[in-house]
Amino acid sequence: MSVRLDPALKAMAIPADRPVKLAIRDLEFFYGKHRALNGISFDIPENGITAIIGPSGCGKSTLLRTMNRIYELYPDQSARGEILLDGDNLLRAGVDPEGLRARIGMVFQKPTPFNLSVYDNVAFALKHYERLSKAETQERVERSLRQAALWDEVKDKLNRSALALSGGQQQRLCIARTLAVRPEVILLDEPTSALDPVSTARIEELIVEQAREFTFVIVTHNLQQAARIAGRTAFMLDGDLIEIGDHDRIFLNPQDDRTRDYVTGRFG
Amino acid sequence: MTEQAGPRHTLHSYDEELDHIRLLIRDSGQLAGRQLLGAVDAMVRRDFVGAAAIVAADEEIDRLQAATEQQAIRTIGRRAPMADDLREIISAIKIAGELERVGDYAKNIAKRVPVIGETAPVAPAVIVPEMAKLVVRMIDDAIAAYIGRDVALAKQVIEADTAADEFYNSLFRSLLVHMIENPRQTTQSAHLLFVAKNLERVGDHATNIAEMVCYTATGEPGASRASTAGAAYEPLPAPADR
Repeated sequence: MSVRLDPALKAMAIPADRPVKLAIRDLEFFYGKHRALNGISFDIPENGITAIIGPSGCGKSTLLRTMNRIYELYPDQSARGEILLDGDNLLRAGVDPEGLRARIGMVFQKPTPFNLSVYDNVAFALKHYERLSKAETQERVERSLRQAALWDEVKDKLNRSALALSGGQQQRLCIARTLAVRPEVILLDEPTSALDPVSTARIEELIVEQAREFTFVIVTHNLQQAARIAGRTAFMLDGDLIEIGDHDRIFLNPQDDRTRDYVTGRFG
Repeated sequence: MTEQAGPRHTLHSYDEELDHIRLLIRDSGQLAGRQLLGAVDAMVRRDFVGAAAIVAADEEIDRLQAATEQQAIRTIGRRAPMADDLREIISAIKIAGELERVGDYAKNIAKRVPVIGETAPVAPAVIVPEMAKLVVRMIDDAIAAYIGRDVALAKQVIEADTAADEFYNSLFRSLLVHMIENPRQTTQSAHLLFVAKNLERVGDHATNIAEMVCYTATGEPGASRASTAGAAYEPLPAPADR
């Protein structure tokens, strides 16, 4: 009799033959003269969920912000090295940041809905990036809201202000807005840290569901969250990548003492 | 007690809970060993009152097992342990079960004391206390290996199980011959055979505990079955094989 596989692990697993979506190569990052990333290299496979964990200040959010070049909006910040998106270095000069952010979407810690109606929050991004007919837009808004597991809750109040939604609903709206432009990669920067457990579970569920179509990279302080949803988890410390592996490697049998101390709560 | 497990947890109360589990296991192991030696001693001395006390004290091991399980489940619920912490707590639940079985064997031996002590002692019985000492030492070492996360000591316990098996085989042959030659002592001899089998099983339980220690330390199931570098116990004098 064959041993039955853990269904959660089966759902989370990223097959070894999955092509590399993002290849990070010798990545360094500087805040002025301060170096926050010390030459990091690793691959993020297509689809599935890759989590980045580590204590505050380890560089995990910095790494995430490098992947869609959002750091360029701030003065005195620079990156060195390569991040290859489907083999093309997105850090090179001449890459259009607008086009890049359509391919690599981002959701932040605090929900950031626009002061518009629920419908327009999603349609806004679409209008910005694509020329769609009214019917196409409607179809895409509904599809995105369904993907974000929000449709049933908002379908009767699409014209109400998004600011009237609960925090959890607002965050799912932001995810719907990101999904609407059909990015290839979605970066999530602690997307549930401001939410209650039920809202958190809803968001985790939708991420796991959508990970069949999208590549998710999530930065989280919630170790249990990474253990629950990520096919691969990377542990960072002081600007270095210490260890990366699947659930069993990182959470059950880490090879590096620093990883072990962090995941077991023996840190600081 | 936590120095073996690397740096302390940021939450000190977590360390206290893990220590509490280790202490419960240590108490269970010590009590199981005392019960076993006490039962065999009562058998040798034909001390029926002492044997009854051993039977009664088995409840304490059961109570310790329940307390270990309860604490382990509470800690899992409260701390969501990871990595070697998780392996250690799961092992503790299993080790408490192994020790509870050892306690049952001691109780079973004690229950046989009145029958075995009815008539003149059976000659091969002189080996039994030596065998009991060996398997109790295996239990003690397995528990010490658990507390100190000492893989080398755990592997010594696993190797020592061969000696326990040899004790049993030797006693089995001796008792068979004794039964043939002394048919009037067949009942006693048969009971002694069960005593020997019980002690042999205690060796197996010590081995199981030692394997869990290896798993806790390395995270690899079956790590203990790899070649054992540590030396086994010093060879014990071979029992007379008639």
